[in-house]
Amino acid sequence: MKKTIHVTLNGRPTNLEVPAHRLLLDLLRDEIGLTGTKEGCGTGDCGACTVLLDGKPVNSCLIFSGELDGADIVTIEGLKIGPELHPVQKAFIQDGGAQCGYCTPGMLMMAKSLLDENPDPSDEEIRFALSGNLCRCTGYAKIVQAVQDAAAELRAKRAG
Amino acid sequence: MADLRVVGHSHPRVDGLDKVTGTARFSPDIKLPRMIVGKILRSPHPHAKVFHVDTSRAARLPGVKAIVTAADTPDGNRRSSTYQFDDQGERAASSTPMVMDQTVFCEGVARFVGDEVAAVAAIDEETALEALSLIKVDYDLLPPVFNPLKAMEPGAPLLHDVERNIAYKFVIRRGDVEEGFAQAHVIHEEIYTTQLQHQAYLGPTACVADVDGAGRISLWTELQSPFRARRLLSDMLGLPASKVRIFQTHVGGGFGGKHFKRVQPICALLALKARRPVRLCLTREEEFIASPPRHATHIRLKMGASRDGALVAKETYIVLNSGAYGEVGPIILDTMTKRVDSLYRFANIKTDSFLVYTNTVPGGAFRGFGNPPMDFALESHMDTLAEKLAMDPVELRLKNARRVGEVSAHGWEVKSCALTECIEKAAEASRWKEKRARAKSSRSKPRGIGIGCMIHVSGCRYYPGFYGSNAVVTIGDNGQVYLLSGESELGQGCKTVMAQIVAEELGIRVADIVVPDLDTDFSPHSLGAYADRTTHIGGNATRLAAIDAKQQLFEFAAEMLEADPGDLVAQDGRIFPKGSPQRAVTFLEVARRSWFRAGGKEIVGRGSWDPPSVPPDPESQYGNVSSAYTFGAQVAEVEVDPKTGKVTILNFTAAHDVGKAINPMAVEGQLEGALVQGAGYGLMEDMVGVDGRTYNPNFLNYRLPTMLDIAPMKIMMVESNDPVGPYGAKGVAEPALVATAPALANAVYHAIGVRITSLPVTPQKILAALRAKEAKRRSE
Repeated sequence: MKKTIHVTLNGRPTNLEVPAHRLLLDLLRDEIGLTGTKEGCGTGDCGACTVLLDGKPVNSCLIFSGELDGADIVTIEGLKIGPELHPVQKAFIQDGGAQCGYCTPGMLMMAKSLLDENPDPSDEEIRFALSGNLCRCTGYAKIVQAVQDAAAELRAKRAG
Repeated sequence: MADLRVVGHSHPRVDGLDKVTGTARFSPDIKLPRMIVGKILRSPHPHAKVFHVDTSRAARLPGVKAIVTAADTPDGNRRSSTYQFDDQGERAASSTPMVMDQTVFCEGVARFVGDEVAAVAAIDEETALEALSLIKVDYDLLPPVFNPLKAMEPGAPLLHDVERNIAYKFVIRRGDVEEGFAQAHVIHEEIYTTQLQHQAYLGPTACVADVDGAGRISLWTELQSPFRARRLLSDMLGLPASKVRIFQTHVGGGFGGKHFKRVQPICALLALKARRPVRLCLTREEEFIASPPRHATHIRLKMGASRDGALVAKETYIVLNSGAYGEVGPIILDTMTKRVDSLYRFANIKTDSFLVYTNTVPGGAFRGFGNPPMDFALESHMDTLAEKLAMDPVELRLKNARRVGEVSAHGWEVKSCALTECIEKAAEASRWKEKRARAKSSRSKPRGIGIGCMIHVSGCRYYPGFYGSNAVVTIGDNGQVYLLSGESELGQGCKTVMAQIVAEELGIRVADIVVPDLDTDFSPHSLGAYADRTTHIGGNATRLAAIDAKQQLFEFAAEMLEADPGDLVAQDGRIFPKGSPQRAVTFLEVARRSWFRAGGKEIVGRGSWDPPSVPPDPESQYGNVSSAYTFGAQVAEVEVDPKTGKVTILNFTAAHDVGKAINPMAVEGQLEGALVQGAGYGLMEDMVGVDGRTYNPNFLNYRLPTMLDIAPMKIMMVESNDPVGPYGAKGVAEPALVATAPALANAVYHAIGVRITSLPVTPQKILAALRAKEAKRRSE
């Protein structure tokens, strides 16, 4: 059964006709072609598919498209601020926060959501906020560092 | 090495921008027009005869485009093939031949829960899954065997046509073990066991296959060794190599787990039959139940030491649970059997080791490759010996540590070695002496500190033919430089390291270098990412290719400068005669001239490097397997709650002899990632099998370390400047994990006085050991 939904996707109002049971992850990847959001487990355990739904991080592998009418969705493809990389994207490159990069989009979306709510997080707060996002390559240390550096840049921008 | 401008300096990943913007394409992201979806039917039984596969109902389901079974494979389900050559490219007389017992689908008998029986391609996933449910397989159940020790007993069910299910074995004798034990002041014997650990890369394995009108098949997939895969696919599909092309996508982590898998040949067969592009992507559950994890092992170790701590004898009995197939198992067994013997100055060695089939998931390569389980046993043992000798564990290791210039009992020639320095640095930085001496009894949660040491290879040769790497460096019309390497980027950062090497040699910026994704039609042949060979071997080939390109570039520059090409220097994007930087022409000007001048020629630099290693003699197993050996020492400090058994890691200190860190940030990233993976191996991760079924095939129940499990990590890179490696570099990715589990187990022992001899060191095992200790104390 198809359903028409109206969503805002990465800032653009969009009408979509979707089977109601289609998962948001599959909707993004297969039907819209935004493959930046990754499937790591399909069961909500790894965080690779994290997107922002109405400003909150969710596992897109656990959300049905039928529930999305009126939703505001931001994916990794919408993380840039205009033509500029988001500070957290820059910091991941500079600090070595990505190795294979498969967990990176989900990790970045979770980090953005943390920094939106808490502009000056402690290492503990970062670790707690990102603990649902698994990474098998980095050992996490450089990710924590990258989030700290991004937070500092965002604070400097706001102050300046 | 004097005045390096790019090498030796941290550089962000060359593919970083792609990875942080979501544009990096991994194999599950590939989509082609008319593409359909593949799914695999797997055996639900651990051991069963597959006597009939009826696909007729599935074939009638609308939307089903192809069904393949063993009957559809060319020449009756061909076997996988090795990539171990002689000079003619034929299968070589290897010192350690792989066991080629895997076919595209299981051959008449399913040998583990997950064994591939058939596959379907359909217009969408739902239809493909429905089609699988309509395939009727008649199984005749056979008695299974799960425990390798039982599988070796007379009368045990046999999986393959080999006696006692023994797929491979080693009998190693060096010196005189009896004489060694006779001289020993202390002797200790213990049994250690280790578990199945999954690579658990975040990116699942997928393959997209497409066949063109000429019958040529292209595959977009993730592989550690695309050239081996091309040969394997051409062998298994009965196609000439010219009909197989592999595009490497971004790889979502490998750690050893993205070598041979049945995904690629099955996907290719589906595409050949459907004549449409097919995508086959493993689910996380399939990754767990049917991708080769680190083998489970059983190790009986007996060692003796003299009064002054010299190790005088080592006797080892190893059983490696191969699971249902052998494949790379013999080489992993080889690693377990021999590697640690060169860490310390052992002379008297007796080892019997066995690779044994059981009806469980077949094991395979995983970071460290047989070294981590054996190092856990050895390094746990070292601590017990130190205690019996009333020596500090650090002192015992220093006493026996391998030194540069030595040749080990197996013929390994150690040309660079900073093991002693690593141990000393790790001990000093972790405040070892002070923390070892600390009184622990006053704390409700005792703290302990433990050390583990390790040795590894930088490439490991088992056969006489080519074991090297090729690289090509070309220079384009706008001064842009292309680096083609046959080595595999898995996320470890080799593209960046190789680009740094080219930038160093050509005197340009890393940003001027393009490193295209690997394509077996265009990339030069290399063996791929395993055995820590990429930087050491691939880096040498890349360096030679860059030097070759530079020499060609200098010919054109010499015309422009009216100078001798042999006198020129390339630096900061300019080329000038030595000592006369004011006479420079720019790199861009020279590149343009090579490209555009009448009679010019495109610069194509070639580099090829085959390491000067020696395959072991198949009989004596003696030989210098690697051109460079790596060493390291790791110290872990933990806190143990005796009420719950919970271990909290307080910090790690890791000192590793990396030869030379070409990209220090990347080396640090490898060490940090490995420490956390090693902590998973040491404390948490365990694929639990019950009657051949994996009970935790998901991230909810197979727990990876999360961000909450990490502790501060102090990383120290010790540069021994290897005489053979590029700029002195050796491998680092695998070594970094090897010593982590024993360092943790030793720290737990130091904290609470119970020795856990089976990995992982879980709270349950700690509580049981504490209770047993208490019961023993009361009875005394």
